[in-house]
Amino acid sequence: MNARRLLRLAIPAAILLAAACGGNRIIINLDMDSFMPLEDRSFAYELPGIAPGEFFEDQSPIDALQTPEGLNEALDFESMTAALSLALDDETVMGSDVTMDIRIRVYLAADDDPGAFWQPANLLVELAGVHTSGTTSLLEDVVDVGDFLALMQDNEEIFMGVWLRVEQQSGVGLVQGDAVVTRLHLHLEAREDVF
Amino acid sequence: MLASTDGAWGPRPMAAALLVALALLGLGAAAAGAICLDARRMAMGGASPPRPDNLCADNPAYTVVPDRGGEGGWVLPIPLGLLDLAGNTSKLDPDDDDFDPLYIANLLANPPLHLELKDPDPLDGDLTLDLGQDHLRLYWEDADLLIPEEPLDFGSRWERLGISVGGRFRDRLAWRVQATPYLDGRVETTFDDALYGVLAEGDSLKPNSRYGLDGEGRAAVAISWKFLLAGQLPSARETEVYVAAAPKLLTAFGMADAQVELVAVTGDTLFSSDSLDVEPEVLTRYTDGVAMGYGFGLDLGVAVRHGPWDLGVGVRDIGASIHFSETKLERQYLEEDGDDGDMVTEVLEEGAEHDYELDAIWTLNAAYSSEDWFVAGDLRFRPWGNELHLGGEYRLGPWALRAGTYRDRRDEWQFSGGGGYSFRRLSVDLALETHKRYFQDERGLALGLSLRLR
Repeated sequence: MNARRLLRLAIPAAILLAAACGGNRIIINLDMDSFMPLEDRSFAYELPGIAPGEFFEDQSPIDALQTPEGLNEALDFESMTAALSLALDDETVMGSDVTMDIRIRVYLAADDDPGAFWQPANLLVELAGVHTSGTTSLLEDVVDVGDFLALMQDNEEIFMGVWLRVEQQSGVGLVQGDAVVTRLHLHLEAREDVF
Repeated sequence: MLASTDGAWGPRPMAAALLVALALLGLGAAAAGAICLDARRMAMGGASPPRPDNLCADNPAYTVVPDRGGEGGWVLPIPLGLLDLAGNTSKLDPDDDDFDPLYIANLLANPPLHLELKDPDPLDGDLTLDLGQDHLRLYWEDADLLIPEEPLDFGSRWERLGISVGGRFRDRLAWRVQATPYLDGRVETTFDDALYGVLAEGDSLKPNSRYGLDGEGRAAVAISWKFLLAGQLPSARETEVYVAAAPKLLTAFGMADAQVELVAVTGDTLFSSDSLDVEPEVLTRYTDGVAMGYGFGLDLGVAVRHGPWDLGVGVRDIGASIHFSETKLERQYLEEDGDDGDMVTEVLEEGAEHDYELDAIWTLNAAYSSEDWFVAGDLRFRPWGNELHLGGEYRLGPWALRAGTYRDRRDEWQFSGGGGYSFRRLSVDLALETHKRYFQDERGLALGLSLRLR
């Protein structure tokens, strides 16, 4: 018996049990970054650093995530927030200080068609910040993503992808480093929808 | 040996129905048995005065022990809980927003005969599911109120409310032929520490870990045909000794016994196709439909009265067992190669003889009675756990003040108190009692009221 089959039985059973008592909130914390291979959420950025306006841009593969079977049918989702953290660490710095604009986006969709996936309608969360060469930076935020409740409610399989842009704003010099998504968590609150 | 894939969980319908029916009946009977309807006894921790109505099921010698003055009479319980329930039925109505299955379950575990002054926790804590590639945590804030950390072991052996005919030889010897419904049931469940931690304490399910649950349930239903002979032995003037023996024939209609072992072993990761190896195994022995079984047992009792003191020792079901000539033994397990996880039923024995063993139940009791004071205690040794009841009463004119304590099924102390007022032929008794009869592991407070007619 695999875990999915067990979850199919155990989670609705637990929800039914809790729901039978009434008044319970069901809170789901999805540690989405743990389902993404490290290489899918890591970016090796490089800026030649000759002039401001140069940029690095990349996107991860589109990863599938399956929620526990039976969960959607048993629950009525009420709210959802996303917590995102991005760590930047320069490995090679040459020349003067370079200041960079950092922009990271996480997309979430019911379909993994690459042609439609990276569209604004699928943008779950976006973070922006500034990074200075030779330092480490951590961008993080928690945002309300209630617009995606219907997507979570209606699909047992969802797809996610990460897009990163590093743009030189000032200074001259070569910068190479790694940007890693260290946290991508979804926090959902729901009520039982069985009785 | 036959094997079939039935894709269904659990024993055959007949055995399952028998087990469920008997479990519900047993639970109700055990719960009702645990509730003291006499507010006088309730206030004294449930301790039994040395007289027939409370003790003769456990000690047949009390069939012939005479009442002390003031102990006798008819008890008329006033079901305050039913009156309260009648005015609050919304929780019983599935169409009502207030419908509460837990409330109904608690009505079964704690029949509404007394007025409950403290509602149990409504179990409305949040349920949290944490999901990650290598961790899974399902934590319900109220789970520890429902899931026992200690092994759960409860049972019931109901042998009451029968019909009888009898008489006396001279004044010292009494006989009685008695037919009584007889129900034996027992349920045992043990979670291992790892599984308890996951279910009740919010521990994460971890890779490469083992989680286990063992359980056993058994039940049999019968009619007990008892021939009771009791009498007073010649003895010293101030000491009265009563003895009784009651051999009985048990005519049984069916039995079921299920042993469940559930082991889950997680793999290197929690979310992959071979991440969890679940090995449930159920061994079920049952009578297929109504199948008669026959057995014998013996009840013995001694009661001694010396001045204000009463002492008694009773044993029920000495050497008792019920023989069934045709039972079926089945093993159910998860199909090893099937991705669908079908349960396979394998018939190990068919038409096999089986002896349903019944362990003896011992009851010791003692009491002291004077004009002003009454103190009593009884200790019952049962296969599923012992029970101790201690209590006393102080009488002041028509008034009585009472207090008591008892050790309950969960092996915890409960406390009680109350009072009474006696008119010429009528007493009014009121009692307060703590208890743990709810499904939730919580202490309740019950108010009981009864009348005694003399």
